[in-house]
Amino acid sequence: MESSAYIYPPGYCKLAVCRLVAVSTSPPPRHPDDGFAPPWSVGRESSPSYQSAASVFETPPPAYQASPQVYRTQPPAYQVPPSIYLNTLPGDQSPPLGQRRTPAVWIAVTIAFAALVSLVLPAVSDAMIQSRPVAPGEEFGLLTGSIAAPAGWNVSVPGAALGSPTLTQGDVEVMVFTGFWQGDTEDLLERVLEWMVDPRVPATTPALQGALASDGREVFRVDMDRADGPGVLMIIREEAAVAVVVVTSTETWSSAVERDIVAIADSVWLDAVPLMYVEEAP
Amino acid sequence: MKHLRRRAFSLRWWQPANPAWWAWVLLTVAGLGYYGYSLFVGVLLLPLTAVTGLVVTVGLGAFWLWFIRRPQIFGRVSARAVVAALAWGGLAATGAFALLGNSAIIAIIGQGISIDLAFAWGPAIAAPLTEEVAKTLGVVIVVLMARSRLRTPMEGAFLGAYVGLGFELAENFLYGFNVVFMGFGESQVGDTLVVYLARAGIFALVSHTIFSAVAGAGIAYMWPAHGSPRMMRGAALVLTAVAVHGLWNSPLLLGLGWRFAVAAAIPTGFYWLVKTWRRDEQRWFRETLAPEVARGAIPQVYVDNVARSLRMRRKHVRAVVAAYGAHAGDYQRYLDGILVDLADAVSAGDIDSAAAYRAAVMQSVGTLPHAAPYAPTPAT
Repeated sequence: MESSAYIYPPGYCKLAVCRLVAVSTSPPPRHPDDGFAPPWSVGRESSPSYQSAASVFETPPPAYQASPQVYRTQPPAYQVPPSIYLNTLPGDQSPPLGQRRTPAVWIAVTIAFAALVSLVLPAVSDAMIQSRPVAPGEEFGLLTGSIAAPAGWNVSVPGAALGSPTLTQGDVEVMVFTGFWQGDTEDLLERVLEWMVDPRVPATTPALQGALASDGREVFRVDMDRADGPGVLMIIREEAAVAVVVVTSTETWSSAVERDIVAIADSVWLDAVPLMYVEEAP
Repeated sequence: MKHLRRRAFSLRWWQPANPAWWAWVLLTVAGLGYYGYSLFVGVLLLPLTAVTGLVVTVGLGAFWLWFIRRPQIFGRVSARAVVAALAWGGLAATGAFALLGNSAIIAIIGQGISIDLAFAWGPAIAAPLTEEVAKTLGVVIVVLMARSRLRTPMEGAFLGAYVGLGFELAENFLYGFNVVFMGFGESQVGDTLVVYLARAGIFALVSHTIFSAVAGAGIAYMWPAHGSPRMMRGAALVLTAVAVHGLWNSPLLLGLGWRFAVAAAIPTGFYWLVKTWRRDEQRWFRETLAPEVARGAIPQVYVDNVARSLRMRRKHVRAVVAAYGAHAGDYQRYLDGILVDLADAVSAGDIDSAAAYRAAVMQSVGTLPHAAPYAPTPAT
């Protein structure tokens, strides 16, 4: 806590001439007209001498004459009332006996809660089931859409709970995520390839796999030659909504798995992106 | 209120003997590390998003700091406490609590109960639990760092608002990257600004700042500086912050109509709560100065004239100016500030400062603004 050596009223000028000017130029005070009582008007409401500032200066308020010690005597040395609990606890001052342990309890609770949410709960999640078989017809939510997986595949439970499910069958892994794009499709494909494909491996030109002109859905496919196995990138665009299906494996997959992958891509349903969607002019 | 000279929750940056300081340092550094780790790739890949987010964050933060400071008319939070609270909210609460905790809780719900439940209700369950508790504990940690106590619910609300503001700014910055990633970096500036427009513009009053202010006031009721704890009221406020946050994140508000209805109801309810806390704050002020009035050190009418809200004080000052001239308004504010400082000094047991402020009040009795200056006499 800080304290000041001097406390000046606002607008105060330290020079005596300023005070003279201020006294001579300030407007004369008036009566309060709506019942409130400004501090310096206390006791003056019935006073007739409101003609000049000087007279107000020199006339002590009648109401306070009854207690002259307010004006003329220094109050006795201040003693902290025992009923007031100290806000600040400097030096040897301690809180009441019953509250001395409270800070330690609060700190312990804080540390324990931090350990719980950042260490214990992730460890518990890691120890629980990580993937389970997909039920027939089961759908999983994406951030802006949903996807259905064929039976016989497994789904990553934590990923699906967080809106980014990973489907696996053997070594084959399918990840799906969604987004939005408002520009040309060519630019979208270029950007996705730039972000998703290893830049050291020249990517083939995306091939339009399925253009369902009736509902404006476009599906592009890129086969990737990854260092640790084959891969496929499928880009699905429906107006401003976009989904990217990334398939990776350590070995070439069978035709049955290939049919499932195509089915997964076909099952992607893209929700509207209300804030991002800008309808193109006809 | 610029006439206040004293600062509440003054703290030192180096106090290794204080366990709360260690808790703040460790968790803030840990949070900084994980928050930075989470953003590292994004900043490298999308530097324009980072710059845009920083610029908007600075402007938004400056506005909110001004907005939270204005109603501090019965005590002003010290700058260091503000920094400590912002750092806790922006780094510790996000990096050390929320980022890991939210994902883990949602995953556990999916693993233990149902993926659909976790996907639909996970954010409504996990985020309020981790984030609101983490931010509320930040209020406690800052108070303990300052070796102080919360005297009024408004003090808790102000500290909570600062912690929530730190969290809000950090979260918005992170969300900017998330949305730009979803947009494949097509329009980094535009997408980032849309995030801020929605979260900090349209729904500005449904924010972590508001939620944490409510929870902070609850802590003040549960752990008061004086008087008996009001556990039920305090717990109700903390739970209200958690519940409203949960409602806001829930799928119940997917329709824009309901969302805007709740968005209007939350600030309305918060305003009503603040009015209640203001009465408690004024009661603390009057009770603290009651012994001063009883012994004739200050006039009762002086204490009675200190209004409990900014609006009421403005109204009073306008009336004073109308009656006594423009100079009287400044003097009224000056006197209000001295009285509040006196209450703060008395409450803090700062005897020397209390004597100085008491004498300053006495000097004002029967004088006009341009009266002789006051040089305080040390108490004997």
